[in-house]
Amino acid sequence: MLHQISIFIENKPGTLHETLGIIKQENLQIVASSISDTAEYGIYRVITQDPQAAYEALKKHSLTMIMSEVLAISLVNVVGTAADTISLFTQEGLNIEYLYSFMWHQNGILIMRTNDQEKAMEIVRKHQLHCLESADLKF
Amino acid sequence: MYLRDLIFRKQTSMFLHQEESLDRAGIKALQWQRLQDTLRHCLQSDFYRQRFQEANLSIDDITCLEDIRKIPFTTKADLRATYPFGMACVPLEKCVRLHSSSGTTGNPTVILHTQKDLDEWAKAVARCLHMVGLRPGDVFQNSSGYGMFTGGLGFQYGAEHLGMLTVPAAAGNTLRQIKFIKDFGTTALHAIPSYATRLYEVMQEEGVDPKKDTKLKTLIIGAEPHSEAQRRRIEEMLGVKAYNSFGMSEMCGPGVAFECQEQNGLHIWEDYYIVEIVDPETLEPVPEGEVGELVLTTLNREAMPLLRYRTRDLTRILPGECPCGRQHVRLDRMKGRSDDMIILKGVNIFPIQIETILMKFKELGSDYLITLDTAEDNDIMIIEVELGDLFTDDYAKLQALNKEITRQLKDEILVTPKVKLVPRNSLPKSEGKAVRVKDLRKKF
Ligand SMILES: [Zn+2]
Repeated sequence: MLHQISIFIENKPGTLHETLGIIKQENLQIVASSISDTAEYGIYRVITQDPQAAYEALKKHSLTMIMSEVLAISLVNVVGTAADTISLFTQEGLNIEYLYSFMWHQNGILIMRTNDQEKAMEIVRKHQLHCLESADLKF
Repeated sequence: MYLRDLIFRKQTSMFLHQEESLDRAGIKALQWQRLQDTLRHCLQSDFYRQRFQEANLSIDDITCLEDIRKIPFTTKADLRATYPFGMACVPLEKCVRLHSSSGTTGNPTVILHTQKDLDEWAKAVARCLHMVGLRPGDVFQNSSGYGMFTGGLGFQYGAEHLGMLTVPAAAGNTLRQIKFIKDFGTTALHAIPSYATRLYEVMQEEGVDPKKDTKLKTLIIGAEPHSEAQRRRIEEMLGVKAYNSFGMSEMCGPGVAFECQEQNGLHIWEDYYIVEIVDPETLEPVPEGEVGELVLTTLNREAMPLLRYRTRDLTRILPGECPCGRQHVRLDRMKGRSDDMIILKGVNIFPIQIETILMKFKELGSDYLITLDTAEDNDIMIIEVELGDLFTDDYAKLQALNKEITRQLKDEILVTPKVKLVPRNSLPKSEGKAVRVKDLRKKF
């Protein structure tokens, strides 16, 4: 599992830019990020190297945020792998709360959060899916 | 005979004054007698004579306690307009002291006292302190500012009247306060809640354990709004019982209302005041037990009696009898100022109602902003509230929280607000204090 920092931001002009400014100021290396929003607010999700240090650095700016663990499944680059992988989880009745992806050493990485992380881990083990850990992100 | 004797003994130790032990009928009878005296006395002043004339009112029109409603209200504006001595009802030579409070706008206000007024004030404060179990032999330390601020001399004279050894430590110099507490064996302390917390912090820094190294057992807190949780925290930290005190400079100062040992509502001394709770908008009495503006008529003041004075403080009378046996009504904790009242779609709403609901949610921070606006000729209320630490990054959970806050608010204020969750530290602050209400409605 990877550690992910989720930052709550208001959905109005300039707020994302401000948050990115703080990340730049703290010199944090972003590995992957995603933003999703509703009419009123958005959640900016970031995966960085050394997440604990990143979290402490951002905390100084009193951002509204939470650090949590997400599944990061490494996919073989064949068309349709992503869909097949996701269906392993949905077939078992899991609800996917959010999903995004990034490239890491020529492999596609699927970041996923389900409503039942324990059951998700079981599925990972059952199908011997390859997952990234925070330590894997060190350059 | 034996039983009567026992009851008497119990009562003499429980009540400091006979008036304190009166039942409802006794209170009403005394109030009626004192109201008539007060009115006759007031009408010796130009101010009240003119007031009565303007209202086309004669003293004969007041035939029972309820008739008090015919009398015009007095307000802080009256005190300012007649500054300094225009509302005196005795010649100035009969006065022995004045207290003045500076206003941030307009004239300051002055309250004059005869010697009898000061004695009555001291008696009222003494009764409060006696009610929470303080007795001669206790050492009472007062960390109020002295001078014009009524919490200083008010408690000083009251504590002395009760017969306690009284330490006028005055405000500030925390190390010295702690030294006094230790050296003089202080058992009772008057402090505003935030200062009580500060004292504890400094005691910790100095290695003083209040429970072992001091004799503190009673704390009198007031003058600063605080929650029940804050009181319990202070009690635990210092190992004391903390009692809420209510006073205001226009009503002398401290001693108006005070918690008894039940710690559930503040008994207001009805031999001193006639209590009314009115709707701040219509000025009509609110139904029993509902929140409104506290209106007080003084019953035993000579120099400057106040008739139906609008205190601007919002509270309600707690229904039912107090288990302590006193039949003087209990006021609920002050719920803010009537100037803060919001009228939306014909409903009276107090920001404190909203605050109380919001503070129940541990997911939320402590700052919020209420905005009143007009959308398509409809009045709407938008409540932005800051999150604390983010508790989830799941939209569904955030939406569920939003919905639950909205539902509980609607139950409380009867209109449905639009609730917006915002990041912490994102709401405007003025002078470090949060701005709570913004009214952008079109005025017709
Ligand atoms: Zn009581």
